[in-house]
Amino acid sequence: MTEHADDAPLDLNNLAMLKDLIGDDLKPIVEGFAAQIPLLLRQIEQALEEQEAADLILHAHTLKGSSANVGARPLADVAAQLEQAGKNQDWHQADALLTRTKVESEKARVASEAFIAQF
Amino acid sequence: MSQSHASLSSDLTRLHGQPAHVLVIDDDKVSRLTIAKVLEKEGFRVTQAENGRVGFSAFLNALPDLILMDVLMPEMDGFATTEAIRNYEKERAIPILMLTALEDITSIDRAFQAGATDFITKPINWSLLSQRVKYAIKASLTEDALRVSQAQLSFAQQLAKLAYWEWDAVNDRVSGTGFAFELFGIPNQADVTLEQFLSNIEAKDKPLVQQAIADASQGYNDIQVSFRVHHHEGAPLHIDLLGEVFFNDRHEMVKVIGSAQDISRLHKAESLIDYQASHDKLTDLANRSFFTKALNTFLNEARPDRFSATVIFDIDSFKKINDNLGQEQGDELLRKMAQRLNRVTREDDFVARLGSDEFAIIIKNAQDEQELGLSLTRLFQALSKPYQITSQELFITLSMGISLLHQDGAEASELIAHANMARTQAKQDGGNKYLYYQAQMNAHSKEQLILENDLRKALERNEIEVYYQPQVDGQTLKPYGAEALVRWNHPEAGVISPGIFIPIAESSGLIDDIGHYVLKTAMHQAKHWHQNGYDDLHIGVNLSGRQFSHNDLIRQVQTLLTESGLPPRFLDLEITESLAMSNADHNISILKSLKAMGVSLSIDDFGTGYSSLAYLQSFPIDTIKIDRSFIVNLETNEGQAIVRTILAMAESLNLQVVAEGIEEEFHIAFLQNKNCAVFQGFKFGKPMPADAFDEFLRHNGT
Repeated sequence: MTEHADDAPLDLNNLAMLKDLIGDDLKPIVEGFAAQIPLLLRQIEQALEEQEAADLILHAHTLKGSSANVGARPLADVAAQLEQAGKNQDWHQADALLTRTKVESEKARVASEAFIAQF
Repeated sequence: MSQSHASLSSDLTRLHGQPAHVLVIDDDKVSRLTIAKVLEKEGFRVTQAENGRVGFSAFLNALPDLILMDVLMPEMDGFATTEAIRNYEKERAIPILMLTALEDITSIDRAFQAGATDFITKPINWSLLSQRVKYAIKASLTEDALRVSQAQLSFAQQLAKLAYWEWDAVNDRVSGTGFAFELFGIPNQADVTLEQFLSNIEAKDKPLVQQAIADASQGYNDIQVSFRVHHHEGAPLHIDLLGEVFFNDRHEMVKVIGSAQDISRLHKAESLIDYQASHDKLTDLANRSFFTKALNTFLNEARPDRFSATVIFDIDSFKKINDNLGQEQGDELLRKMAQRLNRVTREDDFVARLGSDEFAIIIKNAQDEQELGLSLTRLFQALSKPYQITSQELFITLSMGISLLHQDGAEASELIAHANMARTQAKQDGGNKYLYYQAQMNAHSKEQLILENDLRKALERNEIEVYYQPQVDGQTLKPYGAEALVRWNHPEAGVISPGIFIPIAESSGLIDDIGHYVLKTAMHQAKHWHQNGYDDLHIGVNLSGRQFSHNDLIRQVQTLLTESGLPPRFLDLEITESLAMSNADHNISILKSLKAMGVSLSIDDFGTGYSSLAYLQSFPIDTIKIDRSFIVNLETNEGQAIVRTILAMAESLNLQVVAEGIEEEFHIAFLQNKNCAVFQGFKFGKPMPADAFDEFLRHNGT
């Protein structure tokens, strides 16, 4: 495990391990991940606007799960904080986290597409 | 581990030559797909489900070998789905691995409470995933092998009971569930070292454990080891331990998390099984099959010059006593009765509990008829004396039937049937008596038998017909739906009322087929209304006690929902109040499973039993049906007050109310004023055949 793996938008070690296991099947998965990000972000934003805590928790949880899954750790971390803010119904905190979520989402999406391009 | 496990396929991705089947339930498509791909590459067959409800259906239809389940999902979360599955299965315990974040201790706790077998931490360690799945399947196969070879063992759930522990390798501290400390025979305190935690392990086995941990610290990520643990009391426990090792960036072991399982029962199952198969758990008396066997054996060796008898008795109105006392006290009464039975019979006599409150005795080798009669009188009197239950004296009466060996039958089954007939006659005479079997007792039961035989053919001959009684919306008085009611058109006797044939159907087991037929017909009929444009009509179907306790009810309903295409919320299953209360804990779990499928649930004949509305609150029901006797009484002030109270309480508990037996205009006015939701009664229509109901809809349509 290299030093910078923890803050890289996409943990390439994790992806390499997955690629060893499932080969080219990984491609549609990462594509699916990249494609899903904008949709989840929209749902999270909507939950914030409507202050629907249950929706926020659910969508942040999904974002957390699927990004941890492919190894997008920074995005998983911020999504986890967002989920926690939803549980605390701390709307102020949640709003503050939205910008970071967007930034990390974009980084993860770009890194995913770069990874896909290598296939 | 026994020999049989070695013969199980060593490649655990394949069972009986088929790929092992894993169901993945996760709402996140990316995670679901990744898991599926990883497992498929390893040779598993994978079914995916995007939420708990779809997952539960997939479980029912596909019966997979293992389930991987996410926790947080829309529609039905992982806990509810796990509960629904555990409620559904009776014997086989499918391994359910919950996917959860390591830091989420509350989820882990809840997962185990809901009935999960183990958990896998997220983010998932991909290289270990298929190993974990294989181990879990192997563990469940071990249980299955035991279950299959030694039928009707219900240890499975207990066997699967896992303890959970964690070793902080940096600070050398062990923490875990109370059960883990219990298994290791260590007091549960905060600062236990690994050395202390393992201190009760049998000296010979200890090196095995130490080696497993040492291997793990070298990078072999899994620990799996079995050993014995000494306890102050009793024999050593056999423990199976699994552990997953966590490393830091410098490849140093920081933590081991794992489970431990008491597998001692596997070792002593053999002898227990024999005993359990022949004895009744509650009273420790012989059970029915053992009694029959003993009676047949005795028939071969009974001295023809002596007098022996088969005695069967039960408690008069036991159900009522049980309802009043509560199940626990009722069980206590049965235990006390069993103890007394052992005391007042001679050592040679054989005593057994045949079922519920039904006991049996073989009285052996009396010198003459007089001695036999005397012991029977004594027995009857001794058993009829009051019983001390908690602090009160309980007075009960018995109905007892007696058949004489050789004279009343040459085989156990015949003797038992005849003693039973005599007991039934004693009961019909008002109870509190014992009767010898007499040949003419056959007459009444023969009639029943004929009816039972006719009923057996009734379904194939299309004599069972479903009628529909209209229900209307309380405000608009427009059709709301119907209650399905069953009729038997007997070819000679004409229409036979459910009051007569349902008890026969229940006692003969025919209710299973009839109940299924009614449910199926009614659901298809409701779908037919929907297709004809009446697409918001509900259908109410009554469930009998036997149907309700039937293992297959949930699957049956699920299959019929799929087959008929009727949306679940339009199906309203009705159970009576006394049925719901009769085995409340068990019933709540069945109701929860039905509820999880989206079906609506009603308590029928509300107010006629013992229950209170407040108690009903613990049942996951949607509707109560006020019994017609209350509606009839609306003429009086008192009657009005009762109905008002029921409606007010139902409203506060958020229950819909259906009023039955509406016949008069003023019933409608009174109930409308109190916002009663749905009406049913002759005022709107009697129960009618399907085509007449179509006619009714055309005249009163929406």
